Amino acid sequence: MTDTVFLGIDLGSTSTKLVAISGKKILHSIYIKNDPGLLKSTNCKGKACSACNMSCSLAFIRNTIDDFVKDIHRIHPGARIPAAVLTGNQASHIPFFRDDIYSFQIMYITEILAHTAGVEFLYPDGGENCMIIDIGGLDNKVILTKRNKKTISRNLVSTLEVVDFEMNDLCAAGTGAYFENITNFFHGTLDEFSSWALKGMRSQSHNLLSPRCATFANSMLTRLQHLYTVEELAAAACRAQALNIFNLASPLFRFHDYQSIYFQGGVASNAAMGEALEEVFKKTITVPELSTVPGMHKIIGALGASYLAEKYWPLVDQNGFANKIKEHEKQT
Amino acid sequence: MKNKLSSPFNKRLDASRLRTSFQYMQLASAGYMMPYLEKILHRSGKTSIPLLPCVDRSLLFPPEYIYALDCQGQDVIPVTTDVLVAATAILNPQTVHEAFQVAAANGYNATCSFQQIAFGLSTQGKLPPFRAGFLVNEPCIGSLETFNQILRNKNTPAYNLYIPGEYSEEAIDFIKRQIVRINTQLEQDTGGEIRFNIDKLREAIRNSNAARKHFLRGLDCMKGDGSLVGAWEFLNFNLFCSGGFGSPEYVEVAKSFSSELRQRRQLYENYSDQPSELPRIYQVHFPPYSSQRLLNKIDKQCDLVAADINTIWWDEIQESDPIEGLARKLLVRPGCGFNARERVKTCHRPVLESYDIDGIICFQHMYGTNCPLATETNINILRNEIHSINKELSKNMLMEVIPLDCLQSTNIPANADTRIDAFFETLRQIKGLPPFKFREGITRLAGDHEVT
Repeated sequence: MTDTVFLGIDLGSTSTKLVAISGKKILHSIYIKNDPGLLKSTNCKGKACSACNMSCSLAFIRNTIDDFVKDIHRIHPGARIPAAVLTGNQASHIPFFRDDIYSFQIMYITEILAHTAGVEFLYPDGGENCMIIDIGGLDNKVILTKRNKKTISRNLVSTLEVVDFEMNDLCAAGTGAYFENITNFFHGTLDEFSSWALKGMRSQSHNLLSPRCATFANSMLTRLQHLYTVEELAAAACRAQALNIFNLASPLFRFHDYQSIYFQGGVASNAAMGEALEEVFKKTITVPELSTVPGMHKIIGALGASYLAEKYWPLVDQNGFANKIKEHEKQT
Repeated sequence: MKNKLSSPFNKRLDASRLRTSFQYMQLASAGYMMPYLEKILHRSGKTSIPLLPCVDRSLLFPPEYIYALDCQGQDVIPVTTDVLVAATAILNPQTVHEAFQVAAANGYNATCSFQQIAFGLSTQGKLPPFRAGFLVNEPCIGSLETFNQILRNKNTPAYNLYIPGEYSEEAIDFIKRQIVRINTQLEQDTGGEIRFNIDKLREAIRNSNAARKHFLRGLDCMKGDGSLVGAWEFLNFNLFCSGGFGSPEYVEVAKSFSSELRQRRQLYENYSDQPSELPRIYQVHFPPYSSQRLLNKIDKQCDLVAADINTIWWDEIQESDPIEGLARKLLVRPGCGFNARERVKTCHRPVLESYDIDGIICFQHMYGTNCPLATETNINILRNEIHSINKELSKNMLMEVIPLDCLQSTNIPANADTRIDAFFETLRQIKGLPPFKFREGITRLAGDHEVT
């Protein structure tokens, strides 16, 4: 029997994530860092015209999706992809998605819904209400959710619904960009920063850094570097940003209870940040992981998108689709 | 399915729709503002319509008072500077950018953008030649100070009215005494050229009450299903026409507005067979006038049924003691009660209850840094109010606060789109609707089309 596969495409500000699922099973996934250098060569106004020999940032997205689709067909010969759901910071600004160039339907949802759906997929029988903290490259999102029972295509399913959400507005403090900035100051890598911060969390490095502007944080680090160790300063940066997230979330939990917190996005790789969040929220933080898919917390948005595609595809009148399958099989 | 795109009267925003709004505005203000707009927009310095004696009016100063003034046998026309500024931002963004620069060069770079543009336009000589200015401490003390400065720079007399925070007999008396003092001072300062006439005030109040009645009748039609007016049309109308209350022409405008809405309601009922799926939205504070794209985005995804800048929801003004009537109007509902905690509640609650609202969009002008409405205190009051109404009426209203600048398009944060989309997605979910719908029967299969 041929698998029907659904795609989730998360075009983030700093990375591109794709997930393919079938029958609630993750078939394939990728996580690729965007190359900012490619932006310079984009001159086709979003048509992905190939004039740049497909070396621009838009062509990068197209190539990534095309390669991913080819991979699926290679791994699962005969797999059919009827639909994909697109999400992420860049998603609504890529013009070629409107040109119907793909053989599958593409729908758009925001990251808020995608991340909520991702948690619903991974934890179908999770606690009652939960808070989702997603720290991406340039965005912070705090989403408050509740469990609900719903009938979708005659099946009663447990769903996780958004109750309310908050996002950062003026300032990118607390996002991946902030941590990259601090890491650059210490001439380290993000992994190194994470291990420094984890060691530093044992120290009392509270209130050393301002939770706001990343540039001002650099100037403070310049002064503090002579008084504190790198580990203490790295932990202070995590604590400052955890406070930032707590401030962002405060209008949400004033009116609604929640039992658990899921922490996801690229920054969730930093274990010290998870500890710092536990300190301020005084609740256990869960970073979603799967033994079969390494770095699961980074691709939850794409996972949620693919899950929503699979969930809502049965709502379509599939007569047209079924006829197409027969026709296709006759031809091949 | 009935939705905004398939509805015959919900047109997409285009130039003709803007013109329609301005025709309304022109009608509403008996043509008083068009000459000035023409002057600003065409930079000709000359206007095709002769200028009438005009005074500067704060957005929330009662226009009935100004229609009660007499300038040597001619009516005095209230020009609402905030409205001129908003209209300029919509029609000529380039003028706005220049005005920002001029204001910054004169030290006005960190205040509300409405005030910055007004200051810039005034310095450039693009504001009308005001005979006097009538200002009020609502919506904010910053606006009172800036407009005072603008008038002082031109040696124009300015009269300030202070509205106390609480509603009491003492507060009414305080406002009444201020109005009487303004009457005397105005006559002295202008050498008797402009005089206050109590009979004209009675007539203005009669007109205002009549216009109010028509408006309320029209707005009642908004309580039904669906949206009868596009977001822009609705908001522009309310904002631009706020200075018309008190003029006889405005009664006619209100009458036509009301009958137009009733006709639309009739058409809507006849046209549709299913209720609208779009969420019903109450908008708080000014929208981003500088971004048509963002407003269109909102317009497409919701039925905007009420807005707080609609300045009609006051009680009927008493004619017997007209000055006291004005005082009561100011105290009960001057716009949205920016400075008084209790008034923020009494302003929003009736709308939230009677218009069957699903969600509230609150635009935090100037990111909340210089705007009294958008302070955390006021937003928290509104949040608490929504929470208690949700509990009382078993509703699930949601509020989204979007920090941006109403007049400076470059000051709109990159994630405003995501916030708006996510807000409507959540509201759809609350209404039990799917986040999207795949198209039916037209899917191509992988392999049908070679991906290159």
